[in-house]
Amino acid sequence: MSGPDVILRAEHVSVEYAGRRPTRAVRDVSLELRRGEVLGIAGESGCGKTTLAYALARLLRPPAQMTGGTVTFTSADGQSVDLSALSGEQLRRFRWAKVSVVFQSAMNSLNPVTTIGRQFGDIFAAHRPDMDHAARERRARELLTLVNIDPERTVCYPHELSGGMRQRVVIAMALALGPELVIMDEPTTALDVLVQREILDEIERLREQLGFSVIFITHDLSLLLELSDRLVIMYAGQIVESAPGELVGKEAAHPYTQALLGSFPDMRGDRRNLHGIAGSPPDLRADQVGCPFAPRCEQVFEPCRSVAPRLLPVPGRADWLAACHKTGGPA
Amino acid sequence: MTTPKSPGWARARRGTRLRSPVRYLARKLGFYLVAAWVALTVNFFLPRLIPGNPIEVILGHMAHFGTPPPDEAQVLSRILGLGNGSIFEQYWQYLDGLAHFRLGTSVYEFPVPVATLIRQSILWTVILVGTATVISFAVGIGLGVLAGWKRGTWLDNLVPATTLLTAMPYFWMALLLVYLFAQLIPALPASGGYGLTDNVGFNWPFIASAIQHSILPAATIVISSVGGWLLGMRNMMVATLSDDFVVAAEAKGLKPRRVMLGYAARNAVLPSVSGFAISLGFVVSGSIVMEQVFNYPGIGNVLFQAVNNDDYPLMQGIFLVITLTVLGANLLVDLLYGLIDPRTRIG
Amino acid sequence: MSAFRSWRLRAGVAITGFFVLLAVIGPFFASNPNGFSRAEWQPPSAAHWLGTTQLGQDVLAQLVAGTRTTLEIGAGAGLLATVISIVIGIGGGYLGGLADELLSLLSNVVLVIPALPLIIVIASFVHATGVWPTVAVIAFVSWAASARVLRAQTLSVRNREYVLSARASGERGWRIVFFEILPNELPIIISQFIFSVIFAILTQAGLAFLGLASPEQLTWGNMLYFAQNDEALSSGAWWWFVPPGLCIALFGMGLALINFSLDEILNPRLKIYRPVKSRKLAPEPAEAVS
Repeated sequence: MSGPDVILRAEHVSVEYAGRRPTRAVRDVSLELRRGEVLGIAGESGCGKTTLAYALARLLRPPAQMTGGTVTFTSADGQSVDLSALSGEQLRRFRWAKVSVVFQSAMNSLNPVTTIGRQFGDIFAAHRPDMDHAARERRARELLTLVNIDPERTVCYPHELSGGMRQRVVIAMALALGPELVIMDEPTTALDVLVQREILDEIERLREQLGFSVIFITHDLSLLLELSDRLVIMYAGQIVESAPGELVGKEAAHPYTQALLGSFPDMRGDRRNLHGIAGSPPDLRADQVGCPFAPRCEQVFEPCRSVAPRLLPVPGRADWLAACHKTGGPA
Repeated sequence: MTTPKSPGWARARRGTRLRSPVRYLARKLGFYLVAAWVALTVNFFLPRLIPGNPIEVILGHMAHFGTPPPDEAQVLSRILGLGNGSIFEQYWQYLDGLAHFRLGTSVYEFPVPVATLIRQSILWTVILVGTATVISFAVGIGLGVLAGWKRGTWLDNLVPATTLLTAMPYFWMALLLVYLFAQLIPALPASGGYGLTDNVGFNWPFIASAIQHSILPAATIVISSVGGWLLGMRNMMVATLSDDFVVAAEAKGLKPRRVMLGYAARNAVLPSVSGFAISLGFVVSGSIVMEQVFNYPGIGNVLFQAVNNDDYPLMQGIFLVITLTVLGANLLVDLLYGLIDPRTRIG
Repeated sequence: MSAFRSWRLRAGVAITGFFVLLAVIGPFFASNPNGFSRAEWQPPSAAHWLGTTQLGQDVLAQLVAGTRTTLEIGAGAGLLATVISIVIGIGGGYLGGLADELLSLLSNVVLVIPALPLIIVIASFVHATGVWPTVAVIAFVSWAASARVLRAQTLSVRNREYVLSARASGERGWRIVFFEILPNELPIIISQFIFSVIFAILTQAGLAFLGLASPEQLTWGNMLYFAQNDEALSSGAWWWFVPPGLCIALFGMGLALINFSLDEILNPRLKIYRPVKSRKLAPEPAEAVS
């Protein structure tokens, strides 16, 4: 079947946090990731992007649960797997081998009482039982070298490494089994700006070298503008805009994206006034009537408050979607 | 963009890894020396609490059991640090006596020296309490790991029941066990450390009898103290399971058993080890009373007799020895903690 | 309060409340605990619900009367120990520097020296048998564990914004401790108080059992002493021996359950979510179109 080579397809995914009044953190989200692509997901805190990432990676834990939708992963050899149908040993074997995750704040995602080398070894012991100790050690050193860390450091404990080094270790671990997709959840947020730049360059270099696809999640839109092939903006649990990266940078279709772009300065652009976005995101426990951004939107008009806009292509562009009455097609 | 590796880097790193454990050891040792010194000093001041003239009181008690030798008053005053001179001189005499293991003469077992009585009984207690504590710790931690791992299931719901066990007075449970298993069902011996007619020594019949007599006392200790460790470990396990590195470990598709043991339990057990001192205090306290119930020939029983007979020198000696033993045990556990938590090795 | 949905909390409060109630109004309803009678060694019957002692005294009456003194000692020692631990733990944690080092050293040393041997020895040297000496001795030996916990908490709290801003605005040290730090640590203080009460009651029972408590006091521990002295259990008179110990255990369990639930409520990481079967619902219907 011809068409773009899609590696991950999420359709109508919804996630809810159980409670007396359940919080609907992700509402009817559909997206596609093409092989070799970097998909950026941006949005403010609480918009549901991390929850969405966890849902895609089957990492949701009670009280969070996926209440609707499917996630399909297609590996390079053409086999498709319905991720929501996997369970038990099947799920365990699938994990990390095809899809891996780089978590926020690396210092907490490493076991503090075990050496780095041993933690690499655990991954191999769980997925490549035929590797003996020497082979595991060798491979661990290879991976450290891959991310520019001295391979002697396999005997180090996490607290003996700097923040940037730990993040690189976590990235190396994510690549240990040669996955096809790496989901990165705010991998550089806890680091200072210089180290951030290093890590991002590192990720780019590794991607070119090894060819994996990336879903990159962050609240920092400016990072994604240069990094992503495609960008998805989330607000209040929904996707409000989805477009190629460089297009969004030049002119965004959705007022929320425009407001986001207007809130950070451009290094090389003209000087201009910065604006924040007044108000706060809606309560995710309540049902939404109309557009979720309407209360804060500067371009709001009549249909916005009563009719929820659908995610539709901007006129003339099939690959540019926006959920806005102003730019989308007829409601 | 390679990590710069200066020539001294490897050497320095090796050096750091050597220096820090030594510093940790020195700090712990120093603390326990201070604690031991405090215990000694408290012991020194104890006789001054006795209403009236302590030496006369003690001599008076001794007279019940026999005639004290003429210079006993002097000996006593030196050992208890109540002799002549300023308080510093008294303190020095007291420390001097301790250094030579002169702990005085017992009152009710006159004229047996205190040191002898202690020496005869301490090993029984240490072996019984030590073994029971190790068993209790292992079982409590083990069950706690399982209860925490399977949180929310029926296994977890048993946990509050263990609070009932922990709140039971040791001696009450001991007596109940005796009633049930030595009287109602005459399966185990009700008292003593070993059978009456056995030859004391390293022969199998004696050891077998000793083990048989220690089952009920050990069971009392284990049942009463296991709940504390179970509860603590279970709570810590549940909290650790939501830690990022555990979530990450599951995301990596690691085998569940490895995550449970190597990632969750390995970190969750740390507070139980560092809080061991408090738990050990409970265990020691409980076993002192329990020994009286079982008439077990341990140091708790001797303390009980001493209390009953107002045998001050013996009480002081026992307090000192128990305290030093407990301090020693705690030092060992602290060192163990230094081994299992690599973060302590950083200065 | 949704907290009360936890059955453990309800059970704990119920048990503890029952005993407190018993302590307060029980003696008005029970018969004379010290009344000798001819009906010695009687098993439970209609006349004596829990039987009688060697001297013909009604066990139930003794149990009820003893509740008050036992709880008084427990609460008193617990309260005193908690107050000491607040002063040393929070005080040291807030002051920092040398004062903190010394106070912390003091706490650790007192912590590591075994409590019961020390209490026994002090109690017998001083012949401290009354209620208040017992309370004092127990409290002075058992405050250290709480102090350590409170100090650790204070260290992490003193750098929070509300404390820093209070200091910056010139509020005096002791006022900050009382009005900013203390209220925030109240849940932990309550939890430590509960532990102290359990410890105090168990210790008092142990002391009584060893004969170190004044025989005139009527406590659960004393009942056990008399029962054991008269060899109640081995003679089969379980009704004299079992109830006091059982009361100690039940009261302790009630308190421990409260503590357990308190922990669950306060520490979000201990919250257990029962695994819910995942529901695969139909995708949400398309937004309403006018």
